[in-house]
Amino acid sequence: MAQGISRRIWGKVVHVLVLATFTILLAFPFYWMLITSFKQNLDL
Amino acid sequence: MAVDRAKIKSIGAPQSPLLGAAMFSPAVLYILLLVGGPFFLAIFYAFSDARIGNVEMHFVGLENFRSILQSPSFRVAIRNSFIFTICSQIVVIVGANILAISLEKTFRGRGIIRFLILLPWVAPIALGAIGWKWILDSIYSVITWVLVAVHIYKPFSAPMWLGEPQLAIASVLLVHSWRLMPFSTVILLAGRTAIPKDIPEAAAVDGAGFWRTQLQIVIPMMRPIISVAVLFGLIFTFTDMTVVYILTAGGPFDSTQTLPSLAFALGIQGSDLAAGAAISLFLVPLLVIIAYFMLRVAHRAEVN
Repeated sequence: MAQGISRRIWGKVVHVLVLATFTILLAFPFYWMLITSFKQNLDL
Repeated sequence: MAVDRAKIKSIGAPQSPLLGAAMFSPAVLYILLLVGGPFFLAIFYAFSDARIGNVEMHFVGLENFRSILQSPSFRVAIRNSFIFTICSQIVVIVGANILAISLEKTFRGRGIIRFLILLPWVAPIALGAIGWKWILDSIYSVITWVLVAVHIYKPFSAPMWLGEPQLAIASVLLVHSWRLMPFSTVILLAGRTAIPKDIPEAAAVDGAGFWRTQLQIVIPMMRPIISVAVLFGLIFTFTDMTVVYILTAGGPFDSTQTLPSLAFALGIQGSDLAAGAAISLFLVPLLVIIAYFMLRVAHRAEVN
């Protein structure tokens, strides 16, 4: 039983990690373009 | 099918072959003018000595092809075209499979995550490439900044992502994979949701674990869908020149040049139309093979 619960928690952690990694990798350039557009040249 | 046809006939639709041809002709005309015209013009140019600004043109036979085959830039371009296409497809298919598995489950915020993941595909390719150009810039690179901040590199000795041949090739590969991953993910996700739920469930009842279910049941069932994603990906990467043109413009020393970008550089920027046309004709045999397989997959899907 305890093994089943720990397995499920691990599954969830891996799921979140995979999603976070891919989302950051795929959306980062747009985030970067957005925040640099609000900065001055000196801040870069 | 037979019943349907009988029904249509009984309604009394006029069966004039002339009307049929007239309805069909805009499509034929469209294909001939927009696809056939430039294509035959390219073949015509490839056997001539056409140059921008020159009003005379002579037939030179296979001279353009001979000089191209001897050029080292062309050999690098053909090698790069294959490296970019094949390696990015491997990265994309592995990544898209992992993503499709993660996105299939329902969880809070799935809509926003799907939106963020789809961004690279829906945004214009030039915009994404410009974003990456900034991220990989030699002076303003955020990656370099982070690497310096965590003391992996000293300031001013960090790698030039787009300035060293190997790193530039890796950078172009990265951007190609980044661009195509959402597209393949959407296709694979659609393929996954089309698999009847009771098959993986039955496998789970029989004691198959996660990996066994994925590798021996789901992925083999998705083979036609995966091949559609791969074929589209191959065409998009092989014919693309925007990423290379914006990121490196083919440099450093023509080391990231691909067939389309070299054709553009020589044919349009270098005014040598004939050489550009001859280089772009080298794309045709490969694209014909891919198109053949695409039509075969489409035909199989229709039959099923």
